[in-house]
Amino acid sequence: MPKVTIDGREIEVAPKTTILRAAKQVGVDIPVFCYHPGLSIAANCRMCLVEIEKWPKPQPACYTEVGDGMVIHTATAKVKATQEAVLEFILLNHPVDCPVCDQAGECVLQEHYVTYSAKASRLSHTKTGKPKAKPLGPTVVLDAERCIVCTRCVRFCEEVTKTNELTVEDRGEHAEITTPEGVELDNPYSLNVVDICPVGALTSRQFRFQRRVWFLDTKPSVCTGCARGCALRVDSHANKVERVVPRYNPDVNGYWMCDAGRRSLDDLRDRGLSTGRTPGPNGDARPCNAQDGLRVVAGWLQQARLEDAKVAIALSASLGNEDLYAWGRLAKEMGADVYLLRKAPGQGDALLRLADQDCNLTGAQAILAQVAPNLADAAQLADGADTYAIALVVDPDGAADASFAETLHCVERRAVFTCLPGPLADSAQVVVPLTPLHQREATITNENGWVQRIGQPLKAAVTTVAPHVAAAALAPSAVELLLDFGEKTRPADIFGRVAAAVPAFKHLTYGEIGDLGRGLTHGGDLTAARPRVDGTPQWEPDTVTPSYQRPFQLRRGA
Amino acid sequence: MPLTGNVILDLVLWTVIKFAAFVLVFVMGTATVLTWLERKYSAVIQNRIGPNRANLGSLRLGGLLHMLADPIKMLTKEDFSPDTANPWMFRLAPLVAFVPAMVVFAVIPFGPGEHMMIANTELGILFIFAIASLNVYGSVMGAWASNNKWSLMGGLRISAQMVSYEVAIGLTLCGVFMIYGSTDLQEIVVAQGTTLGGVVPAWGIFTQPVAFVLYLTCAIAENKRAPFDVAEAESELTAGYWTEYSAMGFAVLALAEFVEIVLIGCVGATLFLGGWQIPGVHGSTPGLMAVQVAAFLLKTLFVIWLQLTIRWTLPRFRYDQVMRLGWRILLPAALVNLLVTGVALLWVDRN
Amino acid sequence: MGKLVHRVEPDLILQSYVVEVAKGVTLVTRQFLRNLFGRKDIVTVQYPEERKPYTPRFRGKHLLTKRDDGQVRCVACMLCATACPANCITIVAAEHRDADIEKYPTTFEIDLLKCIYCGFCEEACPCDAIRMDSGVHTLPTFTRRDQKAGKVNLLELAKRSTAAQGGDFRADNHAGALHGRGGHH
Repeated sequence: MPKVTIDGREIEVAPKTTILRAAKQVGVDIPVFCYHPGLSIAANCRMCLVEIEKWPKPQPACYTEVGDGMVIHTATAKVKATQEAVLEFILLNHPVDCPVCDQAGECVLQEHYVTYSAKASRLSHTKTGKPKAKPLGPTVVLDAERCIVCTRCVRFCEEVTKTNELTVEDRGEHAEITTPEGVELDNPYSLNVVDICPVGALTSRQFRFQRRVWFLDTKPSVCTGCARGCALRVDSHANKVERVVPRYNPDVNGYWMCDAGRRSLDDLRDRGLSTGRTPGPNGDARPCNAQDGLRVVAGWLQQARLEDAKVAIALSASLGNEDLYAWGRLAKEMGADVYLLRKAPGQGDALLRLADQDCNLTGAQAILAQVAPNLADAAQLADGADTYAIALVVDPDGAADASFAETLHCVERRAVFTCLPGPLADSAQVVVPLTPLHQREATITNENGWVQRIGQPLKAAVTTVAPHVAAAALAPSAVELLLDFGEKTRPADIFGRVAAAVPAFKHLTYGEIGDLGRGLTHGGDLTAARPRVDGTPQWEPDTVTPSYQRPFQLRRGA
Repeated sequence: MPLTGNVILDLVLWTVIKFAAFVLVFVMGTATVLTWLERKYSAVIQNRIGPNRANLGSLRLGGLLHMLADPIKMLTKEDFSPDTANPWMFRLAPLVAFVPAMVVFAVIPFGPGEHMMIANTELGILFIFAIASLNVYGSVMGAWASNNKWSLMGGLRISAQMVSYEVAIGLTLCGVFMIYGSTDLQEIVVAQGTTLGGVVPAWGIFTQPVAFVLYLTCAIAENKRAPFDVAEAESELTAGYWTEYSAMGFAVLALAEFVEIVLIGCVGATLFLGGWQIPGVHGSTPGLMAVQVAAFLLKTLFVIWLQLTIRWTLPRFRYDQVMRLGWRILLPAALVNLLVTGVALLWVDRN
Repeated sequence: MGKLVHRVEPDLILQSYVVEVAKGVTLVTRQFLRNLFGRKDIVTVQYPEERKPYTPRFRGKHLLTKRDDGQVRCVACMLCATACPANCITIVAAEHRDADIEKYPTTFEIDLLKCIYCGFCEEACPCDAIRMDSGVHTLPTFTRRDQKAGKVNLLELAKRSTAAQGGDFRADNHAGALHGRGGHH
C-alpha cells in the first residue's frame, strides 16, 4: 500500500489510486474541468496540476497515480500560478456572457474563476467567434464560444452510449465540438451531455432559458419511468417541474439516466387530473374532488357487503409499496379479488432502460403475495368480469390499456382511481383523482429489489387523495384498517406495517432507506445490487457547490 | 291685547320675518361661511393655503365655493350606518343636537326694543340654559346608538364634560344677573347702555371681567371644541362620538357645532359686550336701529373670531386636565367671583 | 453630552392661563395678518400646476431602453428579478432569432403595486436595459390589473441607451471591450 503525503497530511491508499482521489480522502480539493468519475481520464484541461517533490514539472492530479513516498503539494505558488494561467487561457476566448448563460450559478468555470483566479483579462485582440445556439440534435443545443473543450461530452458518447456522435474539430483556439456530417446527437441518453458539461456550452432545448438555476427548488427523488428506478433530482419552480437530472446512486443508475425518464414527469404536469367525476342526480357526470368520489364508492361497497356481491380490485404495479399494502389489506378484508395491472413493455437497452415499465413490480409482487392471496393478472379479469358487481381500478399513470377499459364495461359499477385522463377514466362512473407519486411521500422497489424513497419533490393538489389514504377511507366501516394504521396514514408509519407483514421488507425502516435506498432480502440475503455502469470506478462525481448555495444565500422562488 | 285673528297673524308673520332675517340669514349664513372660513383661517395661520380647489369653470373665489361643494358632497355621499347600530336613535341624534342650538336664538335681542328679538320673554338667560344644554343629548345619543367603543367613550366624555362645565357657567352668569338685576336679556342690554364713572361703558366685560373669561372658557368646553375636544380626540378615539357618522348625519352634527359657535358669540356679545349698544349713542330712529343691529352682529363676529383663534392657538387638554380645570379651578373661581360681586354690590348699596 | 434644561416653575399668573392664552392669540393673529397682507410664509406647492424639480437620482416609473434598431435591449438575464426584494418582476425569456443576442424577453411585467422603487433592478442590470430615470410617477389606475406594466407599456417611456451594447463584442477590438462585455474578461 503506497503511502503519500498531500499538503503535509500523510495517507495510505490503495495502489493505482490517482492523486486526485487520494487528495479527496484527506480532504484536499483539487479543481478539475475535464475529469469525470464516470468517464475515462483525458487530463486535457490541466486545471488539476499539482507539484510533486523531485518531479521536474507539475503533474495532472486526475491522471497521475500515487507512488510510495510521494510528497504532493496542491497549494504552492507554482500551482497557484499554473491554475491562474490555465484559467486565463480557458477564458481567453470565452464570451463571459454569464447574464444570458443558463449555466450561470452552477458553472464550474464561474466558480473556479472566482476561487482560483479572479484576474482581469489581458486580451487586446478580438475574441474568436464561433457558432452560437447551434442545434446538435433534437435535444441539445451548442454554444461553441462558451465551450472549454474538456471533451466530457465526446467521451460520454464514445464510452457510455458508444454511439460516437460528437467529435472535436479543428485545433487550438478554433477547436470546436461538432457532429460529423449527416450525424445528429440523437440517442436515448443524449441529455446527459448537458449535465456533465462544466460550462454553458451544451444546453437542453427543453430547459433552455426557462428558469435561472437559483430560482429552482431541488429535491432528491426517483424515476418512475421504468422498473430501473433511477435516482434523480427534481428541479422545480412554483411547484412546476422545470428539469430532471440524474442523481448519483452506485447501486441503481450510477451517474446517468435516460432522456425518457426526464420526460416522465411531463405528462402529469401537463395533463394531470385535479378533479374527479361522480354521477349526478340526473345521471349526468358531475365534477368532484377526491372526498366526494370516495363517499360514493364507500356507499357502493357498503351495499355490496349487504348484498354479498363480488368486488374486483385492479392494482397497478406502478403504485408505491405503501399503497399496494393498504389496497391489499382492503381487498383481503372485503374478500375482493385482486388483479395486478401491468404496463405494456417498452424498449430496453443494455445501459439503463428496461423493457419492464412498471416502477414497482418487485414490490407489488412481494407485498400482494403476502396480503392479498387471490392475486391474478389483470388480463384474466376478462373471463369473469360480469360476475362482479363492483370494480375498483387503481391506476395512477395509465397502466391499463383500451382493451382493459373495454372489459371493465361488463361490470355494473366501475370506479377508477387515477392521475391521468384517458379511456380508462372515461369508462368509469366515478373517477377519484389520485395524488401522483412525486407529490407525496412513498417508496418503490426497483427490478433489482432496491427500495428507494420518492421524497415528495412537489406539493400535492388539495383535491386529490393519496392511494393509501383512499384505501383506509374505504375500509369496511372505515374502522378496522384505520385502527390498524392507528389513524396514521403517513407513509413512514404504513411502511412500518409493510415491514412487519412482508418478510422481504423485514429489516427495513423508512428512515434508514435515506436518499440512496436499501436492498430487499431474499431468504435472509441482501440482494446483490451491482453497479450498472460496467467498467467504471464508482466515485461520487465532483460537484462544485454553486455560489448561491454557499453561506450567502440568494432568495429562492421569485 | 286680545288675541284676534289679525293679532295672531301679525304675531306669526313678524315672527317668521324675524326668524328668517336673523336665524336663517345671519346665523345659518355665518355657520355656513364658518365651515370654509375655519379651514382657510387655520391654513393661513399655519403657513398653508387651505381649501382653494372647488371651482365653477375657472371661477375659484379663493375656495369660497367649498361652502357649496361640501353640502353637495354630503348630500350625495352614501349615508352609512353600522349594522349593529340602533337605527332610530342613530338617525335621530343629529337632529336632537341641531334643533336646540337653533331654538336658543329665539331669545337673543339683536336690536333695541321688544320687537328686535323673536320671542320676548323675561326668562331669557334661563331659557338659554334650559335649551342649550339639551344638545348634549344629541351627541350622547349618537355616541351610544353607534354601538362603537370609540363613540361610546366619546359620548361618555361629553356628558361628564357637560355636567362639569354647566355648573361653572351657571355660577359665572349669576354674577351678571346680580349686576344688572334681571334675567331678561333685553333689560340686561339696556342696562349696559350706562357708563361706569362716566368713562367706561357699563358692559359686562368691564363690570365682570373674570366672568367673561370664565364664560368663554366654559362655553368653548361645552361646545367640545379645541382645546376641550376630548370627545372627538382623533389621536385616542378615532373621531369620538361621530366616528360612525357619514354624509348628512355627519354634516348636521358638524353644523350644530358651528351654529353653537355663533350662539356663544351672540350670548357673549349680549351679556358682556353691551349687545346692540354703541357707547355714547342713544336714540331710536330707524337708521340708528340699523346701525345698532350691525353693532350687535359685529360684536358677535368678534367673539366668534376669538373662539376660532383660541382653537388654533392651544393644543388639546388631556381628559383629566379638562376635568380638573372644570372642578378645581373654574368652579371655585366662579364661586369667588360671585362672592366678590355680592360683597361689592352690598358695599355700593351701603354708600 | 446632556443639555441642561431650566424648568420654569409656573407662578399664579402663568397658571391662570389668561395671559398666556392672550400671548398665544396675539402670536397667531400676527402670523395670520402677516400671511394675509405682508410677506407670505406659505410653503404649499400647488402640485399639478406647480412642480418642484426632481433630483437627477429620482427613481420614477421603470422604463426599458431600446437598441439602435429599436428592439428591446433587455436580454432576459433575470438579474433584476433576482435582485428584486419585492418579487415584482416577471420575465419570460425566449430564443432570439439573432444568435448573437440569443435571449430576449417575450414577457416583461412589473407589478407596480408590489414594487417598492428601491432601484435594485437598475443596479443589477448588466445591459442598461431597465432604468428608473423616467421622472414619471406611477399613475393611479382604476384596476389592479392596470398596475401591471408590461413590455409595451415600459417601452413607451423608452430612451435609447448610450452605454456600450453587450451583445456585439466582435466589434470591440480594443481595450474598451473589457468593460463593454460586462465582466472582467
